[in-house]
Amino acid sequence: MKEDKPIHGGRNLMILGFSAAVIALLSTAASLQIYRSTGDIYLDRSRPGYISEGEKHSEEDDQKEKFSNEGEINDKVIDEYLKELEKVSERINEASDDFSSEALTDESLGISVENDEFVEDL
Amino acid sequence: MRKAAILVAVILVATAVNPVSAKTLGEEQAGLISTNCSSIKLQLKRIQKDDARNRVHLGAQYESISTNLMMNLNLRLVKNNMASAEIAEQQTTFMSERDRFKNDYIGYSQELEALINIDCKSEPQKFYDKLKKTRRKREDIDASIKRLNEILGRHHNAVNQLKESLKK
Repeated sequence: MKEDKPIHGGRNLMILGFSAAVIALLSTAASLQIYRSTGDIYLDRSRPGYISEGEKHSEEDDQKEKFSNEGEINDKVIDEYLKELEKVSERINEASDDFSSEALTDESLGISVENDEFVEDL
Repeated sequence: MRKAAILVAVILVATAVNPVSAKTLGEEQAGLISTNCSSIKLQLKRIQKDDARNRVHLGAQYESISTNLMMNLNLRLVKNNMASAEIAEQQTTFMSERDRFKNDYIGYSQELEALINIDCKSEPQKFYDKLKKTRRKREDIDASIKRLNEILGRHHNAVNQLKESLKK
C-alpha cells in the first residue's frame, strides 16, 4: 500500500501570506516612488495637510466661467466672452505675485548680513 | 587657436568641479543660518504650503481660461466659418505655457523639499547653495506666470479687434 505524503497546510498558508505581504509592500514602495519621481505628489490636491477642504471648495466655485461653443457670433456675444475673460484675468492678476522672489530672499529668511558679504573662493 | 582651446577646456573643468558653490558664505552669515536653522525651516515649510495653495488657485484659473473660454470661442468661430488663425494660435501657446508652468512648479517643489531636508545647522554652506538653486527655480515659475499674462493680454486685444470688426 502506497504511503500518503504529509501535507504541511499550515506552513504553506504562512508562506502564502508572507509572500502576499512582501509583494504588497514592494508594489506600494514602487508606486510611491513613481508618485514622487513624476512630481505628481506636488500637484496632488488631496495630499494630506496641504489644502484644506474649505479651500478646495472655493477653488471649485472659481471655475464658473462658461462660454458656449454653440450659437452665432456677433459683437454682443464677443462682449459677453470678454466680460468672462476679464473676470478670470482679474483673479489671475491678484495672484500674479504669488511666486515672486521676495519670499526666499536673505532678508525675508532672516539671514541677511550687511557687512559680511560673500568671500570669493580662490 | 590651440591656446583658445586650452582656455575653454580649463573653464569647462573649473565649472564642472564646482558648478554651484562659486562663493563661500561669510562667517557671520553661516553662523546666522546655523543659529536660526529651525525657524528658517519653519518659514520654508509655511512657504511650501502657501505655494501649493497658490499653484492650485492659479492652475484652476488657467484651466478655466483654456477649457471653458478659449477652446469654446475657437470652436464657435469655426462653426460659424469665422476661424481666426491668431486666436487659435493663442490658445495653443497658452496651453503649452500652462504645461510649462506646471513643470516649472514641480521642479521648484523638488528643490524646495530638498532644501528643507538639508541640516542647515551643521551644513550652512550646502543649505545656502541649495537655496540659490531653489530661488532660480522660483524665478522660472514667476517668468512663466508673466508669459501667461502676456498671452492673455494679446488674446484680449485680438478678441477686442474681432468685436470691433463685427460692429462694422
